[in-house]
Amino acid sequence: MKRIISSLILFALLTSCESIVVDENQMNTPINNFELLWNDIDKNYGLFGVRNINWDSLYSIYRPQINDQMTDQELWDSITEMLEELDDGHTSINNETESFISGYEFNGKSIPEYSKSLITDKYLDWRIEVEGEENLSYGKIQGKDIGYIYLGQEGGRNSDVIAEIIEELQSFKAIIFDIRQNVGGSDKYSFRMAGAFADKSYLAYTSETRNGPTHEEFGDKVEFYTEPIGDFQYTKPVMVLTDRRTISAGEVFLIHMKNLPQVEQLGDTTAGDFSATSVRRFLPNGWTYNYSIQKLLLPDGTSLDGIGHIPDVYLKNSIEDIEQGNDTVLEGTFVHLLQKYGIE
Amino acid sequence: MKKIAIQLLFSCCFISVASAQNDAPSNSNNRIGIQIGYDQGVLQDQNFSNLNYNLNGLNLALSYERYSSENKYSFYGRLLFQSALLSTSVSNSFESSSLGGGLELGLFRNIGKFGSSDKLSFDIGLRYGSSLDYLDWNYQDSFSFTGVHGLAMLAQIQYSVNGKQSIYSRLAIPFLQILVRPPYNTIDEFIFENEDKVLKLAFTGEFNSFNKYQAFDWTTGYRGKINDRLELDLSYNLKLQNVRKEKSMAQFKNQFNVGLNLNF
Repeated sequence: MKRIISSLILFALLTSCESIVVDENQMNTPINNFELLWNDIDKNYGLFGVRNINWDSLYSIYRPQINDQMTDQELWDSITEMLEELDDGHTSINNETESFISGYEFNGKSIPEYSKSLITDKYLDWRIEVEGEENLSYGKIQGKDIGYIYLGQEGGRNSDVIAEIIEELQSFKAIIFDIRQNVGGSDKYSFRMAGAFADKSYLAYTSETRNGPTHEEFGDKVEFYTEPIGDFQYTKPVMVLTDRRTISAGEVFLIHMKNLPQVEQLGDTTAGDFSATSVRRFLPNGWTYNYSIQKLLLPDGTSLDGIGHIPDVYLKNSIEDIEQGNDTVLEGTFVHLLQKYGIE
Repeated sequence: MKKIAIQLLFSCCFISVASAQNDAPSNSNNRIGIQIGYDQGVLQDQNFSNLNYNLNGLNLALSYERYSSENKYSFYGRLLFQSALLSTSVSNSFESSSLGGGLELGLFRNIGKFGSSDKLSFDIGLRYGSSLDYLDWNYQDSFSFTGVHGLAMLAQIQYSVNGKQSIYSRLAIPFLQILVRPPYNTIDEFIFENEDKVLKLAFTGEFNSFNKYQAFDWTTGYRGKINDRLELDLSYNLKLQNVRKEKSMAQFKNQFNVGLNLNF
């Protein structure tokens, strides 16, 4: 009997030892939620230097607004206002009903300035959607010796499909590669896509991931190259079309492409959000968030984060253009190809 | 305070099993077994989340033991798979999954038998263990992992209640291992580059000892013979893990297992 009692006591002891090993759970109060988020970003965000953000000064502005009596909505408003100061499309926060992306309001305005169906109906002879890829299609510009590729996302099952597309479009004198509204995805996918156009290897960019608690602690610099991939590369003129919502891996694709001598960028400046994002983070009040964790630099050491790719030829649709059935960016590209290359 | 408490815990385990003995099959040198069990615990992994998670799941283990003549040496191998649901008190939408597995290979040397008919037996030994636990939320929107590949000190006490029943207790304390954890920010270029190479990720870590990794793996159980060959195996396992890095990980896990062994 004694042995049984001892065993029971021991078992109770063991199962009550959780708190010895694992710290107390985080409190769900507005102040603690704010502190957790601010500290997490402080210790992990990768772009304080590149984007010239004084995170401590933002703390001194926003922390006094936080108290444990405030409502969820008031906390949400304060936190999103603070995150907006980063102007970083890779920093976002979600609650059960709302989603906020830093700097998105400006980029999002370009959504109605693009119409895929307008392009298909008015400007293309034919268009083929590539099965298995997220948003990849190609076709031929009506009445012109110009091929057309649209890539709305850097993702899919088989990025090698670009080789087949290029083979099919190789006889055209030029290709318009449209990445307007490209929402990003995988940098590897971007690398493969660009490899179909590369004449040789170029150092494209370097990336460094934040790996310590102070703002300028980063891991080793990793170099990324643009390289020819596949049996055939398309080296005739390629016009890449961009807008404000061309973002992330879409912009990385453009880094690769802009290395190439036959490529020009036409359209609007891109979003300027290059860094990889953190895994999703959690707050005790049920919100989730993430943020940029890297700095990505061009070979000359400069960063386009917060700036974006500035086009060689600035072209922009208005909402009215689209409503009236005109894609002036595409039409401007036709004019540019004719004037500069004599291609029509 | 934590250190003292953990030391106390260790002491309790040793004291509690001071009732034991060698149960090696009298005329069989081999034992294979299968065990299934229920896991319950608490997890905190800073790479994965700021929050604590309750862990509930199932495990399946396959085991093999071999005894030398006179039971002077024994070898055991164990293959373990586990799957669990992680939950927080914060939100149901934070429910996450934990998948894990491991291999243990241990060698014991008997250091003494005591009591009438040598009912009580002590063994010490060395274990090589390799394990990987992977946490995932929403298809890798958040994830983390802990891999441990290394050596542990082993101690075992067995007590034969009678010819048909016995109890045993085994303690393993890892002391040298390759510890595999995500990078500081959970993902980096190495992870991106090798996301499809699970084995490379699972074994790329750094050597360390008690400075960065403390663990404690204690199993105690009962074996009762059903017939000459078959026996029932009921066991309880307590596992503590504590990774001390900038992004720490701590886990406290209880396992309640039931199994069947075949002696041959």
